Amino acid sequence: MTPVISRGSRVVVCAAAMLLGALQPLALIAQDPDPLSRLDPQTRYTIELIIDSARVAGVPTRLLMLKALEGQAKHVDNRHTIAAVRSLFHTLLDVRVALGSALNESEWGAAASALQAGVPLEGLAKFRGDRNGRPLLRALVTLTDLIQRGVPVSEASSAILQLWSRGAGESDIYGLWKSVDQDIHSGQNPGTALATRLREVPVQVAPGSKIPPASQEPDNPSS
Amino acid sequence: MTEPKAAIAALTFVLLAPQGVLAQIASKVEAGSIMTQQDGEVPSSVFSVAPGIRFDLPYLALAAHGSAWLTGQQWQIADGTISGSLLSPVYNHFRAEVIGNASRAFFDRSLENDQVDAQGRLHMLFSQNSGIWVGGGVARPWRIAVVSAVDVTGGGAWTKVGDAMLSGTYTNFFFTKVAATRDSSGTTQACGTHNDPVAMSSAAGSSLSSSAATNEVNDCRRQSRFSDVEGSVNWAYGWLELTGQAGYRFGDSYDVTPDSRRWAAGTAVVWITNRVAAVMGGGRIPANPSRGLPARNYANFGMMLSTSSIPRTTIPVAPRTLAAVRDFEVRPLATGTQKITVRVGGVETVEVMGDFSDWTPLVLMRRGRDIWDITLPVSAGVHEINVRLDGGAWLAPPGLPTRRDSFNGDVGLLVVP
Repeated sequence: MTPVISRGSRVVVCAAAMLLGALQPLALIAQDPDPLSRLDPQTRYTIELIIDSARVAGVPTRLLMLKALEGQAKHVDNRHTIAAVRSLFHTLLDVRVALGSALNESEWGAAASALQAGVPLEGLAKFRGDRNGRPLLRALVTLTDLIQRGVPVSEASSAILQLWSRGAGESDIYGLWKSVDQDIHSGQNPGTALATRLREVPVQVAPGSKIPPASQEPDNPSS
Repeated sequence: MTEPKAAIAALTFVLLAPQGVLAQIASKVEAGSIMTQQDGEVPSSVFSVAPGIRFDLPYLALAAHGSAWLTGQQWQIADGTISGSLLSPVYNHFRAEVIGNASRAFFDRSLENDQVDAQGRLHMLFSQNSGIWVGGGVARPWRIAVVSAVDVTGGGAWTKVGDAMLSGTYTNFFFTKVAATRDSSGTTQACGTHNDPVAMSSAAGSSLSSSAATNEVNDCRRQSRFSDVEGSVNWAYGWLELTGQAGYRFGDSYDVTPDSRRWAAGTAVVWITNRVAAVMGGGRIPANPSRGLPARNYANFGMMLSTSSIPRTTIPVAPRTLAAVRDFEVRPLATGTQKITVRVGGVETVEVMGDFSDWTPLVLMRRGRDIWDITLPVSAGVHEINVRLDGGAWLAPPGLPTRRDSFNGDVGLLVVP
């Protein structure tokens, strides 16, 4: 028998078709109330012990939980996942020593990344100075990336700290990173690319700043 | 189950997806004119609306699509299909797949039937650009003259050449049906004898069965077997996508009518925007003896409004490297949401994960030929993100600062102001 749709149903069908067509891609991200339940019980127990220690020490615990979930998602064996979480915990303790506790979660994470990339504690501590409300994130992310790309730690730290101290904003630092990124992709030596591009960053010197103007070489030139 | 009840059930399933699951819903609707002609009949033309919806998880895809025709002043429901596909991860170049479908086919009042089928496939991936598969399954049609399940076995191969995808399949069908007394060439067929009062009563309404009042039945039952060889090519470049296929059917004259020996069809999709395309095509569709559907010629022209332009294919390609990614962009939309767009061609799935998803993979939606995107709630700050193609390794997206991830890999660092 041929199914025939009534006038009212026709309206519904048309509306449904339009709705389907107009439907925006929507990621359904269900909130998992207990994300650590993805871990096996023994690993979870160990991770929770580390998280408890972090809570007592006053460092952000969510970063540790996320590191455990990252390891699980990447099918890393439990031993390495626990080692990574424990290492991050110790790094966060170092971040607190270098920058204090008045950081948001992203800044904790970015600073930990910088330390794990090889930035010395005293180098990171230099960012503790006058921030004038500027977020540390871009500076620390760029510093971490430059080191990973092969810029010597001392040169990368010096360059980013110089920009930071001169009052460079997010866009200045991002612009520097983009330029250096292009140069590295075109075959330039990472350190040379950074030194060259650093001279081109048009930042204003903060009043009373003792930092040399942009045209001068970084503190620890390497090339 | 009536259509409204089925629709409600499907919606309920989508809305009650298991907790902790990350998935995407894609939809499309096609509207246009379809002209069909069966041999010896006058061509007919109808206006058709064909909506479809897909629910994607990393290794599971559920889909439903259907069509409705406007004939005269009335709409009538035509075809409808609900399907699911479960894919295993790739292990040593091998990948398993289980496919299930439930479908309804409707031509007219005398030609409508339903079918459920299930298949298993084993894929072997040779490289980034080619693979083969073998598999088999069973289908069960209703309301037609086929009185057994339909055994389906087959295999296929595929390869990529530049921007083109070439594939070939061999499919063998085997089933028992209530037979006509003459084959397609007019030769009289021998009828089998068997004892089956139940089957006899079910076939009593068919003029194809011979009359018999006793348990010994003298109807025409025949083992049917035929095999299809089909090749197809899909080529896409920019806003244009072309697909063509051609096939040949092997079998005796009873199972294969002359109008179904050879067939060919082609489709062109012209993308006007990332979501709107003009679709046109035509060709010949062979008969489907296991469902009693005749061969026919067709031509169609219409528009497609889509959040997912290209249906998921049955070919699970091998993982590709990020070198294939031409662009990776993160753009803020409304407060707290970011749209991640990846431009990469020749892949079946693109996923991202990061701290914003508690490191659970999210499947990106395909738009147009090679654009994939997803809109996510991402708070301000620094977020770690990985991307992978076709279930390969998790890698840092291009164009973002990176750092080591403590697990011998890299993550991208996404700064959201």
